[in-house]
Amino acid sequence: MSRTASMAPPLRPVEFYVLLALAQGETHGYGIIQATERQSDGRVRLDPGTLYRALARMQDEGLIAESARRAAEDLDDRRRRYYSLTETGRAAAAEEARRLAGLVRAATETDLLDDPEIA
Amino acid sequence: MSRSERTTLARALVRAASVVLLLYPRRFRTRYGADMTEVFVDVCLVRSGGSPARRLARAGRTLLGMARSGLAERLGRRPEPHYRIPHDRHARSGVSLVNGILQDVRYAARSLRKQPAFTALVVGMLALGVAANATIFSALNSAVLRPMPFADPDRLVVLDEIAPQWGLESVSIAYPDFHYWNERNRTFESMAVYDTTMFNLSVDGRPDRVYGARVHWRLLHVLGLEPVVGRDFTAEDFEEGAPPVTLVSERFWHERLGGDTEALGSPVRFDSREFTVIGVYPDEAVLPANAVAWTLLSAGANCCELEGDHSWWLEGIGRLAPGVTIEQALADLQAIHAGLVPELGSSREIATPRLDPLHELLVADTGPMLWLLFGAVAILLMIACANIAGLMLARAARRGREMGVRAALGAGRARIIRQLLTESLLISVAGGAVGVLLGHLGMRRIMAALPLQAQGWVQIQADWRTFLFAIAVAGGTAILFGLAPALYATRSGPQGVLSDAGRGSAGKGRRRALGLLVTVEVALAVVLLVGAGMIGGAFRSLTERDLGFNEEAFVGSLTLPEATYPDADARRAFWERLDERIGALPGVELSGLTTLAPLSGHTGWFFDIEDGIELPEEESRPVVLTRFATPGYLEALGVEYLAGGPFEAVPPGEEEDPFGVVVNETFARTFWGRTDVLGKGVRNGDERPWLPIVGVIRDTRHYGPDRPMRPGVFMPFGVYGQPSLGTFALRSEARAADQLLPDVRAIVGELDSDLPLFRAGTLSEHLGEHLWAQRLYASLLAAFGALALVLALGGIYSTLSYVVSERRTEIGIRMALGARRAQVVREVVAAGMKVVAAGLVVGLGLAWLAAGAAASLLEGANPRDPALYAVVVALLGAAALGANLLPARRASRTEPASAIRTE
Repeated sequence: MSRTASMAPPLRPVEFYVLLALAQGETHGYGIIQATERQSDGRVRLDPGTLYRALARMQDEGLIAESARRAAEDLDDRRRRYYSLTETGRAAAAEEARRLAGLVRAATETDLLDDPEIA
Repeated sequence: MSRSERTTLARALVRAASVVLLLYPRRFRTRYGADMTEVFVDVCLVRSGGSPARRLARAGRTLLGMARSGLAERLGRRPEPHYRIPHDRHARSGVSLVNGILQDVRYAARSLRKQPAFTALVVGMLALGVAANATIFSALNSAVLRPMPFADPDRLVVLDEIAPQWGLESVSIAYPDFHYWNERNRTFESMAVYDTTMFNLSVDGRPDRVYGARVHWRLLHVLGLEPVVGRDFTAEDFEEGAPPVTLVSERFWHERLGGDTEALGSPVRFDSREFTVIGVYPDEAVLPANAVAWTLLSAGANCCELEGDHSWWLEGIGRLAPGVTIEQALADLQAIHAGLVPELGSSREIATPRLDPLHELLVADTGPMLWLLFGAVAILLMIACANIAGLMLARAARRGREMGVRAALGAGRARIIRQLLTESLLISVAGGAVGVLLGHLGMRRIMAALPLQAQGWVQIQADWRTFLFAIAVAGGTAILFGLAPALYATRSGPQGVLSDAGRGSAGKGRRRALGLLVTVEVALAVVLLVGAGMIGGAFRSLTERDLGFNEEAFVGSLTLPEATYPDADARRAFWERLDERIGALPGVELSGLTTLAPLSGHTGWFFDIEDGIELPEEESRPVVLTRFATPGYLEALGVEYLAGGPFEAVPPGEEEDPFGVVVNETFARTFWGRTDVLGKGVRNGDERPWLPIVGVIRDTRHYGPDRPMRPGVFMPFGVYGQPSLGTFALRSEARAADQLLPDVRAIVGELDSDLPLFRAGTLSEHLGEHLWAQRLYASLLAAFGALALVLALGGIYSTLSYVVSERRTEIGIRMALGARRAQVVREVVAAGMKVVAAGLVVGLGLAWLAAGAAASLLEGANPRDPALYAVVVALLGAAALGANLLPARRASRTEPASAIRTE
């Protein structure tokens, strides 16, 4: 069952990370892990199990799709699956980003962002 | 790492991964297995990171994570966000825990400060519940639970005598009996007797009347106490002719003698006699009750001779020898007592020794009632907690977004729960502190309201047990109402909390919980209100009981000390002048004198009866309440005659001739079985003439509305000697008691400036004092009931307000679709009243049971009074309706458009 962006409940964090990583371009599973780690300054390291379960689900929901591309050259010439954002996925990611931005704005108005754990 | 090493390692990793992948469902494994293996190998190899051991650890951790995901996928559960967050640098040390807690506290304080109304409400409710609990628990503690302040209090027993044949369970002790018991016993370590009395104290020319005691010299020793300063009494002090000495209480020493050791050896005047202060006894000597000073029995007249006529008038206390039981001691005393018959007469067969443990006597009347009050207060606290739980639940829902943000940005569930729990603890600590303070003030207030004679043994003090209890209550409620909403709010993870409040199952569950809380509150309130109503009714029936005399009568008492009124003529002169002057006061219509006014104690004599009926063996010689009075007194008292009328006053010199007496109904029925006994004769002793009965009156409830009346007789004032203790009574339509008091005081002052007037007041005031305990309980319960009602209504109102605000969208839609305002109001109110009704039903059932159990503790309480239940239900129901109506009306004013738009 695919979903439309306007009806989407908030994304799970894993899903958002995946979409965020794929927004920068098609990549494979390991690429997503690397991108996420880089973007969070090493604080978020995705577990392969978690990641692939999320990928499976997001494919079912139509947020991502397997890309046609295959690695032409690779370190060990292995075949990996590549993934890319669908339109729906892009819209959902944008919506989520907006939602989170709004929350962060609200948090800034309170004292939440004084808390070093969060900042 | 060399290439071959890498390959070997890679192969090992692949093999490990393939094992773990078996946990995944086959389809998943087929589809993603290869990719996952590759990623796994890359993660383990590419990550730089030092020693092989560390790599191994990392590999293991990753495999574990994959295994968990595999199981989750197989079981179809949604995956948790299992990414690893590197620990804080501080996380490993204990410092982080303290820092974390401090942080939580600061954050909690901040967030509570931002909602002052909520915080004030919650802290206030908790403080109220804790205060009530702490107060009652302190009373319970000091009256029942705390050990008595004497050394080895379990070995202390109360000495007394019992005479069923006289109709007396407690006769008091005659001195010779005590003397022989003391001399001949083998089971007591020591014993002593005393008499509580009042002294006229003269300090700085101002007469005052204080409670004191005349004691046997060993009393302090029996109690196991020692003087604070100075010395105790000795056997020499107790000998005839020894100089009069006194021990004073600590409080007296501080207040009247300046707390100065110089005061030892200085004189004080009691009843116009000089006594030397030899020592100070500690405040722990709560027996005899309220006494500010002790003098020796031997210092008074007619005390300690062993021959001649005796009265039973002393109270006694004894300390059992180690290892002796109270039964053994009683047998010992009874044997001694039996041996006294030849010496002291057959009365020693009728009045025999009686022993009771000291603790029982001090606690007897109050224990059950205090437990009842405790139950009431516990219910109050439960209602307050239910309110607080509801408020916290609603607040947790509203803070869902905040929690979601925190969760999404990295705070674990445990951390969030810790945060919410800290808030609850903060509230509890604040509530507990304020509650203990309020409770302390409340106790002081209650203590001040107690009449003087009660204050002695009811010394309500907060000690460590009270504080412990208050903390337990406060802490318990913190866990109760802090944890549940916290768990609830975070159970579905951050995404669950971020989803809109009010939608779907989370909202519904919350609403159901709130409804349940309201039901519980209402049920508890019903129980408490029924209890309060029942006890209030019992108290009212006591006060409304017909006492057989006119309560408006104004009375006051005086004693004439021996020193200034040494003989009968002196006393007669005083009483006659007093009677005359009082009668002459403007506005006084009726007045007279007596030796014993109602509610002032007991004097018992024995009478021979002319032509009386056969009396049962067990009560063959009932004691008779004997009072002497002027005819004017009987009028002022307002007694009602069933037959005949008052006697005439007896002129001086004619006391030996027969004169008329007045008896009460119980007297007539006891001795003759009927009330038309005019002309029958009674006499007190063989040497005295038969006295004809000239009047039979309806019983006056001399001992109070809660105690039975005994046979009673009135004889003319002054016939058997002029009393030294007398009471006047007067009635005035025109002038109020407080206007008359200064006039009476002036008269007394003119007649004798050294005499203090005591126990002055109307009989209805005396009645109030007599029933102080019952009134206190009834007032307290009424207050608790009112509080419970207010709290329950508050809970109903706030719950419905919250529910309505959550369902604003729905209501808005319905109104947009045409539902009328009145309809909406009706439906909202109906929903609200449903839980209230459930609470009423449950409450009625519980109250039925509880009232039945409680009524056994109180006389006059009617636990099955249908009017009471009806009133409570009507009251609560109507109030609840009002509390539901307000939010419902507000809901009906929702603008449909804005309600929908906001969503």
